[in-house]
Amino acid sequence: MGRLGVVMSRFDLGALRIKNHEQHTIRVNLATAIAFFIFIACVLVAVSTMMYLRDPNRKYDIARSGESIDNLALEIEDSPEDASSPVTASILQQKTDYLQKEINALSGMGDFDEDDLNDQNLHLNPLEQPAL
Amino acid sequence: MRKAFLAIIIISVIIPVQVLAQGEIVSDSDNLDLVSSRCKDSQRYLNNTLRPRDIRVRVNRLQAYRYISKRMEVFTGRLESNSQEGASKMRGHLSTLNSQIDDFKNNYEVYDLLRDQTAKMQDCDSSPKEFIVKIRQTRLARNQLNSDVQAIHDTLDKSILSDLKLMHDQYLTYGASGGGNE
Repeated sequence: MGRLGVVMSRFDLGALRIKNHEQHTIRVNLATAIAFFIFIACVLVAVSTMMYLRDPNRKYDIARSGESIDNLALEIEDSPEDASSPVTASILQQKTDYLQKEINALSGMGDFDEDDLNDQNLHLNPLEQPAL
Repeated sequence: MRKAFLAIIIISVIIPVQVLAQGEIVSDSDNLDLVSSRCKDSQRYLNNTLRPRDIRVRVNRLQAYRYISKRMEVFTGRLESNSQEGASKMRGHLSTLNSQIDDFKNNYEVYDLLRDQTAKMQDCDSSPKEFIVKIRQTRLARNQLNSDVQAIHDTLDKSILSDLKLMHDQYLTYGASGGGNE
């Protein structure tokens, strides 16, 4: 469209005048400007929604607002980390306790056990009655 | 003679019924019929029950692994910046842990893809053999994932935690500079 100069009209508060280098004036009133910005906002929302829907990592977006955090491993308190001073025996003891708690918390999570895919769970056990 | 004949009849009737009841031996054609008739139920289970459960476990485990790795990274950096005993060993464990976390993440993607392909396979009832192959592949990928989880657990428990305990004992004996040959 070229170089534009946008000038607010002194006589019409609800209007904008856009001038291009050929001195053609396009009159834009307030309603048109608002509609234009709403359109731009809709385009941005549509593009970001599409990006979200096409993202292969979308399936991992399982946290929803209001839900409590059920990952205990993230709630274990570690001692405040001082990155400069030498490590002492008591700090090592704290770190050992921390890691032990993390390992215990991890043990409570599923571990992709092979039994989840056995014939019984897949309804492929000959004894099982077919689902109605 | 009569008794022997009767015994043979009883054995030939009762044993196959028992074997079938235990679900141990099913002929191939029976198995294919079974898969054809129930594969939709299997797919429903894979898609509606197992998939959400797997995703939650994957998200929680990966978050926890990264959290632990981050904490151990700071700790190892502290050992290194003070040139303390056990720093290089801990760095080695941390490097192994990070590589195992990457393997877990990548192998989950493989498993997830295979499970989804099995769950979404069209006309599984008309091609049961193909469905069985897909189930086997999914099982193998899941076993690999289970091994990855076990490997990470071993690194955390048998390598890092054991060394932390060892270092603790050494530090108590020799002081914070350590008494080893590092």
